Amino acid sequence: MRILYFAQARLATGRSEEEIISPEAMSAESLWQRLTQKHPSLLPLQSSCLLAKNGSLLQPGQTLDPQDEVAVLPPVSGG
Amino acid sequence: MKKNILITKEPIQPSPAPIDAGSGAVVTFSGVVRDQEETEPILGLFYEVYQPMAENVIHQILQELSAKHPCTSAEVTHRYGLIPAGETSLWIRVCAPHRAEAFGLVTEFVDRLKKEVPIWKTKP
Repeated sequence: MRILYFAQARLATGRSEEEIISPEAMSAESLWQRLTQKHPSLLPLQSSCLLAKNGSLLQPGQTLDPQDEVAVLPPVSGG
Repeated sequence: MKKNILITKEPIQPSPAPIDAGSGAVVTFSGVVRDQEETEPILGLFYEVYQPMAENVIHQILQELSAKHPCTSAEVTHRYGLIPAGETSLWIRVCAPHRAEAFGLVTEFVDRLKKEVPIWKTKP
């Protein structure tokens, strides 16, 4: 699974993307657990960040598959 | 409504595209990087974007707003990367038969862009 980090999430993890190995589908909660174990600096951001799956916001109950691109999206601030 | 969306690292050049025939109102908006953030002077801002999603979300917002504000065309250009103070980060041009719908679409679009489109600015 390819994980993309933007803005504060990129600064917290020190990287803009990484691969995580996941042999099967996982829930958003499981993914957050994996990500925050690996990057404890993400913990304070978790409640304000959204996840996107393959370019669309993750819907409640939707799972994440091993081949998905998942983006960690802090609150946006364009314009 | 015709839509033209561009997300680019290059400095924004206002569109040379001709104005739609039948337009009675053309509203353009430029969002410009200020030279201070709160009270602190800055030289510029760094913008990053999740490009494919940003393009889709902009498209979707314009589609939804066009039902409420019937305009004939909307062009949106957003720049990313390091943008020096004084330069344009966002440029919009909307054509409509009358001014109310053109102003309405631009105003609501910018409000929604700032809340929904995956673009971020940080101090470099």
